[in-house]
Amino acid sequence: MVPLGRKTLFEDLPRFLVAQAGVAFAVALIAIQTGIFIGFVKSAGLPVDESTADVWVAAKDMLYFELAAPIAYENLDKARHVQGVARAEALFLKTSAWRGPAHKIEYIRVIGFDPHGELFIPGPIARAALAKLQFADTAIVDAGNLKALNIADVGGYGKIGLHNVRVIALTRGTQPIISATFIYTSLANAKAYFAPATPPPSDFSAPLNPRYAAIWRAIHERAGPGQRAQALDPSDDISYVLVRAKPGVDLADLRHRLDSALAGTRSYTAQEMADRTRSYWRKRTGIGFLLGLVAAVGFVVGMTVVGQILYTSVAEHIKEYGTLRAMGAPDSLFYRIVGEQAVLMALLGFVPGIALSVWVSWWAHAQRNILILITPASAAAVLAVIVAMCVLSGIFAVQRALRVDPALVFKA
Amino acid sequence: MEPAVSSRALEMIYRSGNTCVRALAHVSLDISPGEFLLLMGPSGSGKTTLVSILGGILTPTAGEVTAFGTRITSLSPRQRARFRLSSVGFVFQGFNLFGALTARENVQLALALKGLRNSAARASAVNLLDEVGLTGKAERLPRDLSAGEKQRVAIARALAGSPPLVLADEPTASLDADNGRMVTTLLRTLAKGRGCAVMTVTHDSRIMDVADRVVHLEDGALKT
Repeated sequence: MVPLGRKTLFEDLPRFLVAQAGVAFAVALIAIQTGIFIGFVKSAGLPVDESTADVWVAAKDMLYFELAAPIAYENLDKARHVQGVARAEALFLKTSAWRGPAHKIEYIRVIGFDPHGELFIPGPIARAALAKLQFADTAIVDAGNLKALNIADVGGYGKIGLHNVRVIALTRGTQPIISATFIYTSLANAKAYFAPATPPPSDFSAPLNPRYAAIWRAIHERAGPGQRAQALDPSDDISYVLVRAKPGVDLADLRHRLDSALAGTRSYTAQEMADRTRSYWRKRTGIGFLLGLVAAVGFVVGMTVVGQILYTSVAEHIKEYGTLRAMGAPDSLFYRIVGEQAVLMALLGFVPGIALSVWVSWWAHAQRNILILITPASAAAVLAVIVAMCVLSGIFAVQRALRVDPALVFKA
Repeated sequence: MEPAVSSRALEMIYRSGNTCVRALAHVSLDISPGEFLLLMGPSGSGKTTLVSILGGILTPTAGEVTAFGTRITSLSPRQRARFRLSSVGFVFQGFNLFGALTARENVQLALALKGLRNSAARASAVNLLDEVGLTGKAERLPRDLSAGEKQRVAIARALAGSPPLVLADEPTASLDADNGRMVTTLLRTLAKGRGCAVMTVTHDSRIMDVADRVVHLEDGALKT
């Protein structure tokens, strides 16, 4: 069949380009909102995703990753003796404040883990850097959080409680969008940061400023790497026991054995733990609804633009549609012509729209470490939505063509 | 000989609010197969209404039209569309070509609508354009053709698939005298060659000699 729809669409190029700008805008709006939502949900579960544990053991009333009542450190040892456990490690999580060199306070979550362990490693970081966490008052932070912590780079200092903490390495891509700034350290350091009246090995009661920091650094460096924080006691608090199962062990059975052996706890598979955390944020914040609302606005705006353009196009070519009517063309041809135009507009508007979205995603991550996740699946879903949007607009526009009086063609 | 198209006692009344306008009054007309008929009359005499009814575009208020054995006045709109597609070719005063399509594609579209496959429709369209003297201009857009050339494309499109009836509404109105006569002669020659019945509405008395028969319409009624 002669491509009447396509040729008519491209006949008026300036108007076609305006229409494409409208479609591209709708694509970008929907893709970015969807990307923010997916990024938000993905990011909420990042700490769980980073772990290679098969099972997470938490207090029974744990709500999500960041809100779990403490359990005793002795549970780690108990877990190691449960049949089917290949490896178990403790994870500690508690909220505090970071006071940077200029007295600026940042809300933080201290995550204590075993630097020699395998089940929780915060992002892409070398073993050598992890090993430095064995020294007192050390921490690893996400490079995207340097500004928030008011430090320039590795070697920067801040206070947690009475401790002057030195950043000994940087990691990347570990910070959830919505959480307080994460500070990674060893379990022993984490215990020390929250120990109430125990003076730290490098005690300064005065607020940290660059001058004191220089003095502290001199003392600390003189003290050298022999300074180690105190190990945890069985009664100390931790937040989770991370478990790796032996090969071939049924996880449901293992969880059952862990629940029986560790009183007051409940175990979750890694997937359940990630889902629980993501679900909490999705439901608690209503962000899905809000972002969906903005995406819906994009859909309506796009549909209005495309509908208006197609309707105007049909109106301007009404005599041609009348001629087709007079020639005896069936209704299906009208749907085919306008449908072809609608799909072309969707496809050609999708390309610049998704390219713009990918650039915005890259830019937001580079500038503010914000995760706008545009996956092939989400891009395909946006394409399907845009095609549906354009086709709906086309169905609206084709009504004008179907109602045309064929007698119109006799008017010169 | 059985007429190709036969209309009996056609009445057409247009209503607009409380006003009624009688466009046709008791019109009975036969067109024979292969006949070239001129329908003449002043503006507003009902010529276009009569063409629209004979072509199955409008339904008369009263009376009936039988074309090629089918009573088209009792057909549904969808059936009338099928009738037009299979049996009628139209030539319009304003050419009514598709501006985005080349001359060849305009003709090819009509053939494709009649069910011809793409390659056959394309070849047939090129042949038709050759017949109307547009060899070498098949790939031009309507805006690059003269008025006479556009009307020749319209004639090729009307004759695509050799419909048994061609209805032409003022085909020479947008053309100068020479082009008007040439186009009318061309239409007659090609239609006769295919055995098509042709009814041409015109004001142009200079082409009366081309016609097999001339009928006059005044105030909605045929004058003999």
